[in-house]
Amino acid sequence: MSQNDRVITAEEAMGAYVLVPDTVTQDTFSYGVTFRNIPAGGAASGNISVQADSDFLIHNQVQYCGGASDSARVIPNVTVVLTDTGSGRKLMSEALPVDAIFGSAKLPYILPLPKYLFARSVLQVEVVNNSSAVIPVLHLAFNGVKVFNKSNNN
Amino acid sequence: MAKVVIARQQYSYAVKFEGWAPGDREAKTKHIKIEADSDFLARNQVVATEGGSSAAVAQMMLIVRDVASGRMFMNEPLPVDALFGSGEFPYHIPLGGRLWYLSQLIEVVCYPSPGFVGEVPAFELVFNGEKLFLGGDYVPE
Repeated sequence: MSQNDRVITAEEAMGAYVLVPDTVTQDTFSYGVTFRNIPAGGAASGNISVQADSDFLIHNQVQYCGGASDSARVIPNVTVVLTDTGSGRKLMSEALPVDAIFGSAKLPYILPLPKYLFARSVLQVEVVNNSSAVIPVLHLAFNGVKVFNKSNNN
Repeated sequence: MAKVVIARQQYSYAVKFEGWAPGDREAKTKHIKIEADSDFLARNQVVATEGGSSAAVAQMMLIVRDVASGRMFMNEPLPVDALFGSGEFPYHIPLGGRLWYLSQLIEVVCYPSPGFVGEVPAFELVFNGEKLFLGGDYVPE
């Protein structure tokens, strides 16, 4: 690196000003996807469709599968793969346990570098139930910030 | 011209749901009216259960939206457990918080998750943050 190279910090990425200089405003938002009755040993797929009015910056990820207190919290034996369908790029090298990249509201999984999704893009979420029982419901939530840019108004 | 924040005060807005009897699946709606004296920067969110099963409260689905614009703060209903923590471990709203303007009306709708038929105790959703008192005009040079 030379002295003219500019390092983009996580804070700048979260502010999105470096990525999208024409940012107008931001607003906190959550995208959720729900899976029901995932069969034992089976797979399921869902999509997060980013709304057309704004881009979205994922800040943290949480999951809920039942229970509430720390001791009763249900951690499903599920692996997950996230794919940015616009580029076809997966966000991991292989399927990861959901507990590795999804937390709870109390202790959410905060992304090391917030993930930027453009308006109208689709984040595909594929899950595999590795347990021997049906999973009645699995909620995955992607919490972050809507980024409104001048280009979103087109 | 922009308004200048001349004072800040720790504050909390809360909305209480009285609970659901076993088998009751009715959605209940509550409102939060931001007081007219100041804006409110919500920094974290907490759920407090008044006895009973916290697991029952955690599975409750909710939608939060701004009444004036109709804009929801999520694309689909989410479980309480995904967005509300505890006093010990509150859910910190990303990137500093969410700004609600004076006199803004926020609607919170809650209902039991499909398939849940148990009793849900009374609980309170709390938005902790700070009041921002505005005054004067900021005139950039």
